[in-house]
Amino acid sequence: MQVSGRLGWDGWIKPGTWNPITVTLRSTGTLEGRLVVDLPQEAGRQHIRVSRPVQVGAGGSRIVRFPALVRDSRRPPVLSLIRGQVVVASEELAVSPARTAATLLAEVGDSTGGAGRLADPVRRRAVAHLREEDLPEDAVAYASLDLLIVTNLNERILNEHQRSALREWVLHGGRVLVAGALPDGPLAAWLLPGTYTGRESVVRGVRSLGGGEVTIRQIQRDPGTQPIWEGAVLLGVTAARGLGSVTLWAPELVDVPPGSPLWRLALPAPPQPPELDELEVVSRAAFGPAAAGLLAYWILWVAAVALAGLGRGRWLAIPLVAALATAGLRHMSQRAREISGSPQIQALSVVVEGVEWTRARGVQVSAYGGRFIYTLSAGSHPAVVGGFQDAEVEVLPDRVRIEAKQRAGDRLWLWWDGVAPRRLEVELSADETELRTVGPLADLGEGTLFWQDRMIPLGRLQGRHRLDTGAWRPVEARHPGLRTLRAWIPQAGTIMKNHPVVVVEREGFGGGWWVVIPGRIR
Amino acid sequence: MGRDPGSDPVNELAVVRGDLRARFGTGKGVGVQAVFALLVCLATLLGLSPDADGATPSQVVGGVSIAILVAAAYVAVAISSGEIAIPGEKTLPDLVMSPFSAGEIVRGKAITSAVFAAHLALATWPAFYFLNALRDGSPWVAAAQAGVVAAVVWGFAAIGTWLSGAVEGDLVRSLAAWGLLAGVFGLLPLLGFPSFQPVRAVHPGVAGELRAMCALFSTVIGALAFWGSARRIPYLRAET
Repeated sequence: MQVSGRLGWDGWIKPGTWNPITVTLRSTGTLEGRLVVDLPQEAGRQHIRVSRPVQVGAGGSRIVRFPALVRDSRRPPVLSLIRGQVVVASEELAVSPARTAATLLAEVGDSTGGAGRLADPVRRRAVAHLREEDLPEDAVAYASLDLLIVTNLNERILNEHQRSALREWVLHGGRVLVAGALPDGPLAAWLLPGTYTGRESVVRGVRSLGGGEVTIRQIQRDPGTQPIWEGAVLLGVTAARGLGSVTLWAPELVDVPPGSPLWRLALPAPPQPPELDELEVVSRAAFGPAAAGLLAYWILWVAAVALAGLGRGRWLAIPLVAALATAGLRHMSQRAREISGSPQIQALSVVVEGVEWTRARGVQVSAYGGRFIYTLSAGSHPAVVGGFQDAEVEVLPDRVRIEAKQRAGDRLWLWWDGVAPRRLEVELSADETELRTVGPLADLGEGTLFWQDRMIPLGRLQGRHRLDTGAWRPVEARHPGLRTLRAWIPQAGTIMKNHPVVVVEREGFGGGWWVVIPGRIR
Repeated sequence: MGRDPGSDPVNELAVVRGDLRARFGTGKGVGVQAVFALLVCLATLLGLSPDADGATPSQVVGGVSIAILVAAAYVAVAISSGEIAIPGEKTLPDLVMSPFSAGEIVRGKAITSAVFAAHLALATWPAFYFLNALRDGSPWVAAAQAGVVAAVVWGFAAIGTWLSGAVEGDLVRSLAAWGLLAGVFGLLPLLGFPSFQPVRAVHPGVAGELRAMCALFSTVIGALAFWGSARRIPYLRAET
């Protein structure tokens, strides 16, 4: 049995966010167990364990890829393979503190492509060199990556999950720069904003290319894409893909000097942490349901006592009621714990082209001590922060289960990211008189349409809305959904300039969960 | 309180049946138990209050458990001493005129007290279970708490029985019963007598040995009280 793991992008990580872990399992016999990652926390005494079931056939091997939130390179995660209660293999996924970055670029393909020149220790900008196998299978793992540079990518090597993850990341704001070969395939067809014609030309005096003589490829750009010109020279093409962008360059990567304006166009703005509001939370006790349950117990008990006095054998009613009350109060204690343990949620789900990316946080102050269980939907990646003694995250096929041991009054934070398919589309007519919504709307409440510094309330979302042109009004910055969007996504302003955006409350979360659907003009 | 020659278990059971019929078959008996169960439920409801930050074990459950124990002990001592007179229930002086021997009377009273103590403990068990489950505690802790209630209630019932025979005046007997409650639940914790502390033993966070000691002491004190009651009956018979 062999287990080996790698953390990060070619050994580089961005602390405080999701980084990829790639684990290779090789087994001579059939293996069925759990792959466990222990994440030591800053406080030292706390302990988080993330486990997922894993199976390997006899004589086979398997690669498992998943994201992990790494806060500090000095406390590396420990990877273990556990069968039953026995640790079969264990390995520390160590990262050098020198290989942590504030801005992380990754180049797939030829490592001599020239992207390495962008590494800047002062700005803590690093360039990782990857092969196709290193790409994550979950879009959340891309959260630590600022720009993916492709000089050579054979998408046939990628599995379906890797292709989907790359597409989902781009749809939700990921940036890809292509400056090399990308053989035909569905991913390339979707991604590329143009194609190389196969012809080359020699240009001179182009400042973006250092001013010397440079051979560049000619590009046939697709309709609706943005050309990048310097004078009469087409240096590249860029196109939006959902909320992200893809750029295709005409010159080779090595011919673009690090200070070129082309790089300034390609590189993302410095990352900004989300500016989230304080979440007010108090510990809650379920007095109402408990009072009802105890009243029922009292009535039954008095009835049983009265019955016991009526004759021989009827005393059996007393233990019967005690047993019944125990069962009922057990159920009620679980319900009361659920109520006292339910976190206050602030969440944002952005739906782009059938892909929903949810960013969420919840805070809970436990009224009582003990173990609390939180359940998230499948595909969620949670991080547990704050007051708890130990936490276990179990990634199951149909859900993610978190069990945290807390003391009374402990304030526990749950952060999670999750990507899932969701068909929800919005189309605004060009004359702005009609809005069409496609997809299931059952869990959505009242919505508002934002479009170019204006907004219009929609009421409860339906398939089709007639819009009164006189009802448009300037955007209210205090709109809670808009505040949530701006807090989580710093480039929200750009999104609302380029797309009509429907912001709608998700029901059942007390106004804490907003769904954002960037639409298009029909 | 050993079985005397010629004693008849049927006579002991007659005492038991009479007492239990009064406590379960009369309106006042059921009413007293209804009030007790209501107090247990109200105390349990208070037990839902959030715990203090980091408090392990819960001080709230500790306080509620003590309140339940005190209520159960009061019901036991009040009924057995005659402070709460249940129609049809015969106290020790009432049974003096019966043809039963002192041993039969006292053994009958001891069995009545044991059954009633178990009954009150059974009434408190769902409450202890609920409060512990709410804090992710073990059901065994709740069972141990109910066990402490049973043992302490039996001891108090025994002392109440003795008081009914030993103290003639109703007011003095009531004062004695209340003094007993105040002494055991108020004074003993202040004196720090470690082996017999019902207030500590019923707390969910206490070690099992302390509970066992408390239960043992309660049982021994109860047995002594019943022995004292048996010794008292001939005097009562002589007086009448």
